[in-house]
Amino acid sequence: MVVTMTAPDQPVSGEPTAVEIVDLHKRFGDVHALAGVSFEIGQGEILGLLGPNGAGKTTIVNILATLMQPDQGQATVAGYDVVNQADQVRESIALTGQFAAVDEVLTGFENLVLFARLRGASRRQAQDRATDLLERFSLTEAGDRPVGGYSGGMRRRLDLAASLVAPAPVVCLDEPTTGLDPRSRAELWSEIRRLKTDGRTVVLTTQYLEEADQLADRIIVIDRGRVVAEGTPEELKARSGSQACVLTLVDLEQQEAAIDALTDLGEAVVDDELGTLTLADCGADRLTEIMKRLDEADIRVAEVALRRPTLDEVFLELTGSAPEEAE
Amino acid sequence: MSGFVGDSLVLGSRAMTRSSRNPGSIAGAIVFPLLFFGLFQVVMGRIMDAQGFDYWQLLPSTIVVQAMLFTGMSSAYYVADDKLTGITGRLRSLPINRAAPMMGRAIGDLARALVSMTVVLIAGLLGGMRFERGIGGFLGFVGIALLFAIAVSLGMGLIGYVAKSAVGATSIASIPYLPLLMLSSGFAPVENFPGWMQPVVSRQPVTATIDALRALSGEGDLAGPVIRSILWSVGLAIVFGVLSARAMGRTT
Repeated sequence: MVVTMTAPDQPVSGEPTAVEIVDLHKRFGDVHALAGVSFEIGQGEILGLLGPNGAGKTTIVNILATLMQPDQGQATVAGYDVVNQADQVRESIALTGQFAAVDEVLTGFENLVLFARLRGASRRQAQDRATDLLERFSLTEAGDRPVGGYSGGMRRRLDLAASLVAPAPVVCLDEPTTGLDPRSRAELWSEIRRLKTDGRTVVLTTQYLEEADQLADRIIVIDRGRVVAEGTPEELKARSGSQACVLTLVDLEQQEAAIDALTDLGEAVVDDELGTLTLADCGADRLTEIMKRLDEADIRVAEVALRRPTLDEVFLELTGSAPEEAE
Repeated sequence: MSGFVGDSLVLGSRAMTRSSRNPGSIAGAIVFPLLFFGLFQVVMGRIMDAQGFDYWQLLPSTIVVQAMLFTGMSSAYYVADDKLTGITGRLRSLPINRAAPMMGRAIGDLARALVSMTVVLIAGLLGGMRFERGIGGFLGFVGIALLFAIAVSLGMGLIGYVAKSAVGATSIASIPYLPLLMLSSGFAPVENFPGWMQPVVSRQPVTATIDALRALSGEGDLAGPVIRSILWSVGLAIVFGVLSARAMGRTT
């Protein structure tokens, strides 16, 4: 029997942390979706939860948003317990899920008014808020059209706007840019950055290292329900190997000669399918040296590219195994 | 109960906006019952009248129940659609009353049911139907019909929660519709069914509600059919409501 000394409407803790998760466990049948996850998010921080499909990111978000209860462990949002103080948690958190969860039949404006009114705004307040948000998310013109006709990027922006109808201090974004084209992604990114200047705390789940790198103050890498690494984007990149240099030669016959010429700069891996040579751990500082040597050996280069580590490679570094594919 | 009324009304107005923009939903609420009414009156009217029944008096009750079943069917679609597009999850993450989403949908369904019932009753009254018991009987008629509509709405909603797709939900929802309607006292007297079927036909909820509506608009024993219909509707609403609440609680 646990005796709680705190009144139910009082935060469990008075800490300045926005989110605190302690030893969270969740099972779905035989699958251990969360196997003891613990971390904290400071107020005003953007935390990137990085991991492949099925790593447990969405389960964490669902528990924070009170859509699921943990089997074991504790989680608090703005100091409120997600199980015992669910109503207060719902006042403190805004959720943008993996799908743009907006009503396709209603217009953009009507959607925002709907969600603002459900957050307790009067009709008038809700309409003002909706107008402001449409403006902020460059949706004013589309505001009186049914959402069914919106592009993917517009829907996601509206979805994010719908999360901001109330001043909830914590915003959960579950893979907000999955499936978007690069331009829409960049637009959404700048909106997410603005959340920080609003003073909101952001939990951002993503499968893309670049997205976490661009947006997050701190990244937590999750794999198979466990935290496998934690740090700033810079720290993680330093731990997970740096850029690779990918060379495409004009004449494939010269590959052997190229490998010989570059032998002391690192091991070159040949990709027969693409016809490329990849030098691992090779930053921009080495490019001049590489080009100089190839030029001296009279090897003509068709294309040079610097490639950031992919999530797979970060995983390989951090966990010693490739990420598992989702079912 | 904080916010229950306000949240339900906001979600109810959303449901009504949705149906008002769906041409199929309007046709389903207005055109389809009228078509049904007209066709049965033409095909069966004279046969039934020849057997001593006043078909213009009896048929509107059947068509109203048919309309309640039919307008409720779209609940299956709306619930499945909200579940699959993540709106149910978003609503669950909001600080609103837990029962408000279901109530909001019921308001939308009742609005459609009311439109449908109004159209059918106007057609019936034009054809010669009378409310023999006056205003009390009329109000009872509307009340019993709407209570039945709530049970149907919750039952169809439950199908939406368990279905894998919105189209699938609509198909499943249409399965119970015809047997429940045809194997009732709606179009032919219970005595006309095969002997082994009669106990089922005479006791099922659609028969109970049609009999109650006929008693409220006409003459004869009132208490028996009305109590049976109320028990069925309230019982089904509780069972479907509890199961829906549990299914909704698992939706992310």
